Amino acid sequence: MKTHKCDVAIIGSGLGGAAAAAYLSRAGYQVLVIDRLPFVGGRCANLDYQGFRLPTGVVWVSDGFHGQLCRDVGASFEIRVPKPEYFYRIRGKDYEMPAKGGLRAMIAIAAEEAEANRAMAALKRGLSWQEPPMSISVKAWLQQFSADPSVLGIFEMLSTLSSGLRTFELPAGEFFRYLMAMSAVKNYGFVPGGCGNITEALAGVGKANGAEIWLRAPARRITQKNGLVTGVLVDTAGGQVEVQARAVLSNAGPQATVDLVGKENLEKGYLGDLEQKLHASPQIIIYVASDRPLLECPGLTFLTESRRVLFMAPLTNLCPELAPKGQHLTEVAAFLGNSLPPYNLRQELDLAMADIRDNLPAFDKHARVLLAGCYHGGWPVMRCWPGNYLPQKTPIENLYNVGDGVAPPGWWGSPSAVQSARIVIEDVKRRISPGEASR
Amino acid sequence: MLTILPEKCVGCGMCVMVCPEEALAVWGLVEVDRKKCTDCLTCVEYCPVEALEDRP
Repeated sequence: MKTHKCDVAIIGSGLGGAAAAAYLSRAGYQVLVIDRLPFVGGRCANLDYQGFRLPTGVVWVSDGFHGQLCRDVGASFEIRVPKPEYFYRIRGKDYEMPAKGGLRAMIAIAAEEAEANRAMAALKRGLSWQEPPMSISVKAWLQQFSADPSVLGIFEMLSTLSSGLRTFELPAGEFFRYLMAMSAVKNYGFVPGGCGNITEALAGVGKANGAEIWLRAPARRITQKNGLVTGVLVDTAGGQVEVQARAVLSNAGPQATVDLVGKENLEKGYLGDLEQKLHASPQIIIYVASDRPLLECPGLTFLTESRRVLFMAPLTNLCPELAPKGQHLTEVAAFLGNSLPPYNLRQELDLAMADIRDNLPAFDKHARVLLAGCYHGGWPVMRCWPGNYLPQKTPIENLYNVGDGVAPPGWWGSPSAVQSARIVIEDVKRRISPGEASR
Repeated sequence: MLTILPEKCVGCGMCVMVCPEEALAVWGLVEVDRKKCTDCLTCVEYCPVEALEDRP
């Protein structure tokens, strides 16, 4: 069998894996990234379909977070920030969300004054004094202060946008940690050509610093000896390769990591924790093609009183390169009735379509569904519910998980993948010197 | 021959995007139009959850 030596092997080139590869290779580590799929980026990539450039997941990013990541490692980054970033549809009317104090402004529009004041005072207390406990859901917490469905709709939207979870599922404590983490992140928007350009740029930084990236290269086994990771067995077109590595970072999700290393090699406590806490969060994404723009707001239009639809985003208003000439692309994101399977996906899709028809009057005459994708299970919004806090470290020494399956407190969606990678690379730097593989 | 494993398919639609014959459709679950499918197996390569396989 062929062998390949490196300092760090990374399984999966999603945003967490690609960010880790960029950071580590710049710090002098010999990095190998392997991915089972034929493209870089996982759920942060784009694929061409009928002349449209469709996202495989991530669409909404920020200059403050994703831009900063790219500047940190010297990767190129471009963003088009819509003005305004958000509209909220409350009782059929669209309101522009102000850049500052937006949440409070929305609550003030949604509820009568006394109720709005109660909800806002509770919100302020949670942010400036102490967040509510983890044992109460966002919905149960909110209902102490407001029974207004539009106010709940606003919190529903904030909860499910990046986490995929509903207000009755998400712990209130984690929701407040998220609001605090996000309050520093500014300037959201769309990446020209799609968010795949971010993972491509990160992979490019890795390559420029000596990292190798093997695509169509599935990991078959993570190898370990006496509780210390030794590498990965990888299938390639040229046969199986024994990759020897000092550390292995898995961006394939905590369950895949367990399957690759073998349950028999892991401690029962860890496996029990995973069994209890590892639940993926779902979302439906419907891509709508049309012969004219379907929405005015160039950013996200949130529906606060819908059956299922969370937001509608006319991607081509700012990024016309995502559609063939003369056509337009709108992304519609929808949550599910609840986030734990079993789901009736066809019923969920029908409910989302009913919302689309109610909220996009031009749909029947001028638009068609290009593709309706369901994200859940092994290809979800987040591989683990935020608030369940799975550790990045595994019981096998120098074997880590990175990605949204091991999100740190307060981090959801694509930023959580990057934050988990940042935690892991700091630990790798403490434990392993760069360049050891070549010695 | 292309075989769909419905218990593994999540309905993400990635296979639909990459099929050169437009032989696949998805609505919660992927379906193949056998008249259009040429068994090129591009979809198998792109499926992120190993729900598509080449079987005799």
